[in-house]
Amino acid sequence: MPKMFPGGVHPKDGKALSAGSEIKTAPLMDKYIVPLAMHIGAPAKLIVREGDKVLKGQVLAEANGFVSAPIHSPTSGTVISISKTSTTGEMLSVNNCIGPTGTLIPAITIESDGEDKACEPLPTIDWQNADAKTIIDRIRETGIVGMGGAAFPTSVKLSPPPEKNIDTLILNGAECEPYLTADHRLMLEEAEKIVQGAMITAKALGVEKIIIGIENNKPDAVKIMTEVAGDRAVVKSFPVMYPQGAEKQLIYACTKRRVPKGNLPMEAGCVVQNVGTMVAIYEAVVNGIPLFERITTITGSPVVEPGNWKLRVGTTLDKVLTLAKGVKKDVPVGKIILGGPMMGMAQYSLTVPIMKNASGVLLLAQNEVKQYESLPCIRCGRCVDVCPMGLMPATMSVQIEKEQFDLAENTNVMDCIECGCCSYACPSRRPLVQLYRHAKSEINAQRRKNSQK
Amino acid sequence: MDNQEIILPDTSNLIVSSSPHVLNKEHVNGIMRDVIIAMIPACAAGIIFFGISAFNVLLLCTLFCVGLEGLMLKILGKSMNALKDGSAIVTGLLLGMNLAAGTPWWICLIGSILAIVLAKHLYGGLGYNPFNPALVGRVGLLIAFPAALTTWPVNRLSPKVAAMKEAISDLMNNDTSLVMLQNSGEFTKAQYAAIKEAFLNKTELLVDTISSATPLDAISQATMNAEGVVTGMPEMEYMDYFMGYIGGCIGETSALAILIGGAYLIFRRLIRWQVPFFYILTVLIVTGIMHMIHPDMSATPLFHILTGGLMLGAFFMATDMVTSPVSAKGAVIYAIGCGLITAVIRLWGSYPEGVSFSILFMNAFVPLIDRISAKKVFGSKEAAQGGAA
Amino acid sequence: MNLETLMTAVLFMAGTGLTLGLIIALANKFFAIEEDPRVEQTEDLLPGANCGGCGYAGCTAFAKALVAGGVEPSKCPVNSEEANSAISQLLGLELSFSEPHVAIIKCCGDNVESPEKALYNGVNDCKSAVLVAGATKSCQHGCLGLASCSRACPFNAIEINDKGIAIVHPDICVGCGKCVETCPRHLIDLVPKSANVHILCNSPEKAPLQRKACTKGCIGCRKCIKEAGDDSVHMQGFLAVLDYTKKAPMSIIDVCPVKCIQPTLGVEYVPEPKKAAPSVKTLPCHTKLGIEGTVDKAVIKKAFAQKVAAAKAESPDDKEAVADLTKAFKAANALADKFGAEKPAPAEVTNA
Repeated sequence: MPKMFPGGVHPKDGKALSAGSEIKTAPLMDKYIVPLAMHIGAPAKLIVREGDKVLKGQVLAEANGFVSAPIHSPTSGTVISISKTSTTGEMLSVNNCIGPTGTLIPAITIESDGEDKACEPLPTIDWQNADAKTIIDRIRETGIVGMGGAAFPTSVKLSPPPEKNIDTLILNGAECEPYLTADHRLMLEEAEKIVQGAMITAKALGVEKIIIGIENNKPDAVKIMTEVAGDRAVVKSFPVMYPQGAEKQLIYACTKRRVPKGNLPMEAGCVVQNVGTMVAIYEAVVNGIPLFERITTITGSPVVEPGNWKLRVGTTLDKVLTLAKGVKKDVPVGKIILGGPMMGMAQYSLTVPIMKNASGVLLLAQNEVKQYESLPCIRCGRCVDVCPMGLMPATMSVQIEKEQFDLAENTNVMDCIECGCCSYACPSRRPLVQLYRHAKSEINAQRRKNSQK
Repeated sequence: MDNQEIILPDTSNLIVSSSPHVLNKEHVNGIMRDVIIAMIPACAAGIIFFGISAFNVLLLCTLFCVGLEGLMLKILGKSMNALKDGSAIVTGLLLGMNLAAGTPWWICLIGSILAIVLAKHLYGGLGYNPFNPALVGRVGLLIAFPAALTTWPVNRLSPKVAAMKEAISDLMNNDTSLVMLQNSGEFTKAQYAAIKEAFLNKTELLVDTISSATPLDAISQATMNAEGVVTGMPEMEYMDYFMGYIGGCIGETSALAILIGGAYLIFRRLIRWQVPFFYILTVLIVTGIMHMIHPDMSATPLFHILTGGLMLGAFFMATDMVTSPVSAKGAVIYAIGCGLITAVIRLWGSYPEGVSFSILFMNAFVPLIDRISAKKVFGSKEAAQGGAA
Repeated sequence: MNLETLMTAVLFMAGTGLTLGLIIALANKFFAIEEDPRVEQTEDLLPGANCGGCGYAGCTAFAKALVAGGVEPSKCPVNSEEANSAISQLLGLELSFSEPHVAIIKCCGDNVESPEKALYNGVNDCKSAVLVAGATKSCQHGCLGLASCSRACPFNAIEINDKGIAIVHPDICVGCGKCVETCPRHLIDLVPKSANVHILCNSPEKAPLQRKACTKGCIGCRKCIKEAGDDSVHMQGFLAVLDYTKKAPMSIIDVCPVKCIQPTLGVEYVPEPKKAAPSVKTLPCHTKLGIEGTVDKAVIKKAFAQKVAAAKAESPDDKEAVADLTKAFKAANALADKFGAEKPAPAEVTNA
């Protein structure tokens, strides 16, 4: 079967390191640093104070507006420190947490009391007979966000404007990023929960059709999901090509529909969700448990014991690496990445906590990474050949270097999905994705300025 | 009890960069190195055919180009690391391959200056030049020193040289005499003088001082008289053209050598196969149509693709990454354009060779071709709304 | 070449040239666009740097606006006084004085004081660097030194020094303001050129975090506020900030413990010489207490207490030693009282 979108690249797979490891549950840590902004949208609003005693699953911060999500405590214990706000609401500087983007972010530190006592779970919802609003309210209440990495509040995604004609729910089981195997193991071990979660989501959306998209380097996952789903969902498998799991490409592969330029998947009548989000929805609706833990792959050549772990939010990276028995003595570490190697964020500190969207912790050895000198564009065209969105990265990069952002906007830089294929393929080692991020922030700032005029 | 000490990574030497964090192994230096390797067969053929003077020209051009590149980098205050990428060597070799063996050193120097200083660095250096530097050098020299650049030394392996050697051995065996040779009209004055010198002084036949014409020169000499009788059209010796036993520039004579190099380039994905394919195809078609209309007065299409600089141009000059379009679709348009102009100049222009001019001409159109052949953004065709299918 | 061909060529070229020149001249006359000649005259008086400091898109646009009226020549920060008055004379405009401003980069944490936490590899531009892990400088609010401001300056007034942070050369800077928006950390301000002292820190962090991030950053100790005495320096959270409408004394440079307050580049600050501290010669009473001659009563008291404790430890019943020490203590104190205020050292003291 030919690949289902233009371009794409084949980075080294690396999944063998952890694909065979069953999901293990992490032991209780003594401290959890829970950031207030683990999702796209406004950071949550604090409702606890320093010194408060909290239970596992208790709400620490409320959702702040429509596009936002609440934060729940990962364990029982005491709140020992919080970022302070002044009387006018502005954040003063007790930022006690380095976030994955490298900047200091507000966070709540919980000191565990060792008992891990849970608060009363929310009542089970009989979702087969409940109405969509009840389900979506529960999803919002339990702080569920997209677990694939984007962390968009799921309740918002499941509440499209009524005039959009949604008819298909697509589950993203592709996991096209190299090295990551969390979704793979989830599909092998919790297939029933995934399918039930999908049914609940379909009920909330009011759709009948559920398609599960999986890359065919996971034949065991394809087999199990097909068996478990039965006639409740259709399982489709695709040839391996990064980024098959990107939303627009996945929608085309599953339904042959193209999302129009600059629009959201709902314009093509589809909603895409990660399989991990499905399990979280099942737990929330059926068991009344809010979202405070997720499956993360800890892997990389310097790691002593790569594997897949169920981690609670707020676990810092140093503790996470201890679970994997640390790093090998003679393998110096070059990069620590939260996420996968193609779209993840490089870290410089081990005090960064795991958030709701951390799908992987990847370590790369020093001999696997280099500090590259960026050379001028030689117009070889490799980036143009591999771009899955059909853009012209070479042209755009030269325009952005010369700060011609309006020209770059005409060359469609705003449609870039930042997948990294172009930078991967560039022989001049140009930091293309960074240039496009810069251009996007400049263009957005300019649009805001224009709309204010 | 776990007696293995758990070591956490040392965070003092971590690298922080934007995603992606793994990169493909290919690097610019590797690309240039592979291009140089691909040029070796053609250069070797040139040296075999034309002797040490061909080696000198190639060496001088390369040295001058590399030296000038270093000088320009210094003057412009850029990092000398750029020398390592080998692009100056590629330009030097290509320039040398476009000159005739025995070209004087000062012409090589001027050509290198035109190529590196004018065509490359004055436009901004690697990646910013709109015109192929080696071709700018060659065409500049052609217009400034036409005589020097159209004097072709004799190919040592050409049939003419073989005939001359046979004449000498005939003389030795007394099968013929000097007077008979002179009157036979088989050899030009210069060739006869060389034979005479070699025979009388019992020395090796010195071919380097004799010049010959290229096959394209030869067909341009063909004339048609009032009755429509064509004279002067040479025989089509396809094997000679393919193997390269003909006169011409150092790198352009042997189609076989160039094809070997070209196959290496395509196999290693260093050039777009569309460029040589459509270039040669277009020339074949246009000259083929012309040949069908005037079979006596024009050469066959196969002649056209095997002689002159077409093979060299199609595989090495038109495929230069910086000066050709960035997408595959654009490359096709570009190649067809090059082919058309080459054929037009060869058939109706006053220059016997059109490859250099056609490529430079199309280089000027590349930004426009890039713009019109821009790919469509994924999803821009369909209107909104799913529902069906 | 014969004379006839030569003459034909020359005449032909000359004829063509003359004809075309005539056509251009006629076109210039008949197709000319009416433009106020004052616009061009004004433009000649402007510096021609097209920096945009006046708020217009270049010097031509500013000249047109001046002629049209409604804007003052002093809006151009680059122009000299004479040029501005020439423009106001030409156009009959009022000329008001506007204080020249220069840019200042409020950061002194270079790569020694606020070292990089990790090796950054990517686009060498400040705005792009903050997109990657917030850029790797220890201080989250400090100068990255990747020269975005330097490249934006049309007058080349900003330099990245050898320790990796940007500095503005106030003698070259004209205050056009183009650099201000290029800094992703908002470190650049336009301040009056006459101001000669600046607080080079913009970090609102509290002292413990601040010290970890940068050894030269403001820790909020308020010593500068005490020294200044007036509200030319005030606190904004944990950061000291200057009010440039008031002139802060240059002595605040000395009192800053982290040395983040500095004079304008190029201005030399010479601290006022300290008056000689009052002193007293070392006399027998001092020697008995084991100290040098001093007017510092705290030192005297401490030395007395130590000696008494030692004496008591050695021979608890010896009251005479203690009495001796007490006499010496009283004498030293009396001297300190007499000479502690700024009097010259005593010439002679008679009693023991």
